[in-house]
Amino acid sequence: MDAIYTKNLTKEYDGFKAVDNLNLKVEEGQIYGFLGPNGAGKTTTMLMLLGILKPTQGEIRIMGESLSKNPLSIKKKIGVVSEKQYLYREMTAQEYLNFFADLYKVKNKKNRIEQLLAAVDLLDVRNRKLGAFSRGMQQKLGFARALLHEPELLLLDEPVSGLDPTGIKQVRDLIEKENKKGKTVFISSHLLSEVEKLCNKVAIINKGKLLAEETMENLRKKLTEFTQLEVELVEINKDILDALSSFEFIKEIHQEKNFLILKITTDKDHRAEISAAIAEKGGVVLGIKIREMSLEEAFITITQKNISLLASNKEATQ
Amino acid sequence: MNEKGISLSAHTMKVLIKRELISSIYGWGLYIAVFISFLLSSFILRNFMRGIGQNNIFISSYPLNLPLFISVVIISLYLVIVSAISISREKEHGTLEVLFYGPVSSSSFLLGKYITDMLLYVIILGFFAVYFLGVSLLTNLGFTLALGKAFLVSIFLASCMISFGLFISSLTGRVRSSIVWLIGILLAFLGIWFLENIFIHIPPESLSSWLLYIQKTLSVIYHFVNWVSPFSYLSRGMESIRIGSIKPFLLNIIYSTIYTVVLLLLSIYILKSKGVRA
Amino acid sequence: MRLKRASLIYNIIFLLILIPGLAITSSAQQEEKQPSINLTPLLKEQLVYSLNVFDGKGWSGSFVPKTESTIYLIANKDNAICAKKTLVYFWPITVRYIAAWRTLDEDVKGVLEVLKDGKIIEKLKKQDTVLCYPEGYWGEKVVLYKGNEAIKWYKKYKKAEDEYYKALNKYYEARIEYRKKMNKFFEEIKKRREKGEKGPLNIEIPKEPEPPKPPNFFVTEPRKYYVLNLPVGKYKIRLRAKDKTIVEGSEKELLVFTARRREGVGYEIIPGNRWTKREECNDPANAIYAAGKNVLYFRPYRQDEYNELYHNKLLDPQNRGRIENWKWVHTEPIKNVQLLLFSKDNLLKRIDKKPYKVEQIPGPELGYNIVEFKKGKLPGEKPTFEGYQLILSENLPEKSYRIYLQKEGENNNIISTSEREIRLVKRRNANFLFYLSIFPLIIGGVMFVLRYRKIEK
Repeated sequence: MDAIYTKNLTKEYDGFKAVDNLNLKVEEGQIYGFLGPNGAGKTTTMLMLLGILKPTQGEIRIMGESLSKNPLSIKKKIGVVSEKQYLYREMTAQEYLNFFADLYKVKNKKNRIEQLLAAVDLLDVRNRKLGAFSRGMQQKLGFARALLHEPELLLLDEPVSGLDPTGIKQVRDLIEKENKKGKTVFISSHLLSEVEKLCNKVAIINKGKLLAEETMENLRKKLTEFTQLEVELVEINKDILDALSSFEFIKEIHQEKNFLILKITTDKDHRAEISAAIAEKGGVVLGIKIREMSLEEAFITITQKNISLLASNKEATQ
Repeated sequence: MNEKGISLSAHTMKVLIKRELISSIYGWGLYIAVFISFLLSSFILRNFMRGIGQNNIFISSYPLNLPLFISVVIISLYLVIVSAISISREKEHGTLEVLFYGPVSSSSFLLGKYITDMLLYVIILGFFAVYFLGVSLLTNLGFTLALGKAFLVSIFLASCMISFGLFISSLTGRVRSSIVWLIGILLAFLGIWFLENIFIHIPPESLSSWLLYIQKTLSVIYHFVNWVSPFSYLSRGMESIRIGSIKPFLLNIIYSTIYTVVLLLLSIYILKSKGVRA
Repeated sequence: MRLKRASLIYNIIFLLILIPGLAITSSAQQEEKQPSINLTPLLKEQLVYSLNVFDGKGWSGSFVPKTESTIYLIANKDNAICAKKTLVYFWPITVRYIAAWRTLDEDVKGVLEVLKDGKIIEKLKKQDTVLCYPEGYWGEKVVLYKGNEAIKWYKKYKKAEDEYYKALNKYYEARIEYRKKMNKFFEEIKKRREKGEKGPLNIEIPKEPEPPKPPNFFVTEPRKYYVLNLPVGKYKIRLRAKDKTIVEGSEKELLVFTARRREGVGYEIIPGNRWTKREECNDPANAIYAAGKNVLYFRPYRQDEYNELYHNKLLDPQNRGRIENWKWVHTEPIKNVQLLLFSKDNLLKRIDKKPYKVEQIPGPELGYNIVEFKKGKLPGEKPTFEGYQLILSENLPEKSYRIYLQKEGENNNIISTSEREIRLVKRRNANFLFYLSIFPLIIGGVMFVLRYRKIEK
């Protein structure tokens, strides 16, 4: 049985397709990464999976049940952590979890709440008003809320956003722990690094369309199909550029002062061929370095080198 | 909705109501509103007692109904504001979205809000009962059957106010716009009433055709407003107690119930179609 | 997009406002152009109905302008009605049309047809009617007489009036005679004193003539009216002219109604400190709240309960009222009863009706005293009012009393609808009400402390 199954899922806003014929298949027990740059349609998809937004077209099945037919009982099987936590500021952490435990009819709620508060390191501040919580604490509390009713499916939207490294580790451990218990985890993120250590399978979406859906292993392979060479020259002329362009294994040439950044296939070492070609055209090679391409860079390559994404990546990693 | 669905919604409503009620009970708003209403009532009652002192007698079946009416108006204003911002505030703060991640539907959420505010009014009625009993003991102005009836009718009036507030709230996504809409609509009602009262003193034959058109239009709007404004239900309800006849009393209860049901259904529909985000 | 949607909403609202107004005023558009507002009363000739209708107690007059489509009458009583042409103007201060009868008062001739369910059930011709005031012109009671009876009463009154004037002439002559006799009387005294007579003179004092009493009733001049006496129901009336056509503007709806409850007991209460501002305590649910030292005079009446809208419209068709409201109308004073004052189940006092006189306090001080009226103080002197005196005070042992009426000479049966509660209010406690209003804040404070204790700082 698929934990999440969507067929031709589409959401249109006044003629603009935020999600375009999206077909997803998340198997039970998987940790599924849902990647894409900002504005790609991830949140819209998440909201449709939660029944908060009505699809313009298409079908959603969660745990084998049609979402449109039985939304309330399906939602009881889902735990959600959004990027930003929306809390009742006048409540304490204990009261907040108590409220949601009641809402989801959690059995033995006292123990469960204590256990989760301990897991996210908030047990000591359980009687503090949520208005006084830091962003990281709020995020961890959101996690506790999402896990409260032991959901079969966890939908996580940018789950580690705003967390410090310890917090990130705590959350990752929690996700892995829950996954080991047999829970399916669906992580939506614009950072590949955030999901690459956790996910078994990844889907990449951009402009509402599914670009790729691969196992993490395959994706890694595909993303590392190319590498970059950094060639330092005394001088760069047009003849050199023309000569390099004629090679099939060179996919992209980018000039930075007296450096040439070459994107090449990784089938074999092409450095000798490149030096020979440059020398033939009168160029003087000062050095050639292989520039390791991270998954992140590869992901950006796939999603069309989104500049805004680059900016937000920097922010996120700072 | 099947039986399981209904029981799930009922449970959801119960939990939502509990949270909201506790939040209101621990807040100051409720107590301040009741205090202001009692302060005004006490002021009116003191003048009223002075009036009886000067005139020596006062004849009435419902001596405490005017102070009760004032108290109900103040509390209604409080309730209409509380309900008018209740949905928009949750939308604006995002808490509504979080609720909808779980087993909360538009109808259970809205009915939960409605019942919470109604229960809040029942609590307020408890305050009223204590206050008016105290007034009766202190002054010997009787805690009459008419006052009991006024209590009963006021529940339906509160229901109109709350559903009106929730309707406004469902239309808007932010607290500020809810307040602006609420004040705007109430001022419009007041303006129409004021203009209609000006025009009624002008003979139709003295008006030019376009003024006559305005007069007739205002008259139509005025009658329309009489059924749309929750305050009309309030004054009609108190009037039905003054009349002491069972028919208008029951009719008013029926009209208020229909008004509430219609507005709640509209609010649920609007919330469903506009979504949970601000 | 938002702007587009908002403008669409505004357009819809604008159309919603526009359409009903246009529909209603379409007919008015055809009229000639006028200045925007003209507040000078415009006199317009109209066919109106002049009425003398039974109002539950007696007969009272009013008129029905063109704008009122329905005439309201009480069932099974004679009601006089007449179509007239007159000039009518609108008076904005009272929001009423007023008939300028002095300028134009012209009877419209014809036969009055009464229709029920579209069928003519009566064709009425005008007949003589008079209003008779059996207690005199200023008396409260009025009776309508019609036909021969009307003429008989009018003649009776005329005869009584003629006799009175004749007696008055005789009286004036007798007074001239009396003055002459008095002059002679004083001259005789003067003469005999001048002659030196002392002691009693034994001269007969002339007797002063007594003025004749005017008729103790009054009857108006006979006027030709249609007399309607119909059972409860909805009817239509119209006037058919001699040429068999229906007189334009004469068609009106007729709503004939009756009392909902009869034989109730209502009280007019005269407070001792402001006898001109009387109070009414008509509804059986009414309680009388009294403060301080209080002398109250109760005047019980029989009363019937009518629909407020119908009765108000009956008194004046331009009146307003609510169809859901009911009002008590005093029909006649209740005689030969005693007022009983009870505290819980104990009879405290039986009070008899007595006449009272309002006497101005002599001197520069303003004010008056109400004293029991004693006959024979001054010739022709009458009591100001009659009533049952009840003296209340803040110092009475109980805070609540009840009053009832009982027929004189009976000891068991009380008139059930006469029960009223009297509550003595505690004025001194009025300021404590403010302390009472603080208690929600105290509860709020307690809740705040409870919450504060729970929360970690």
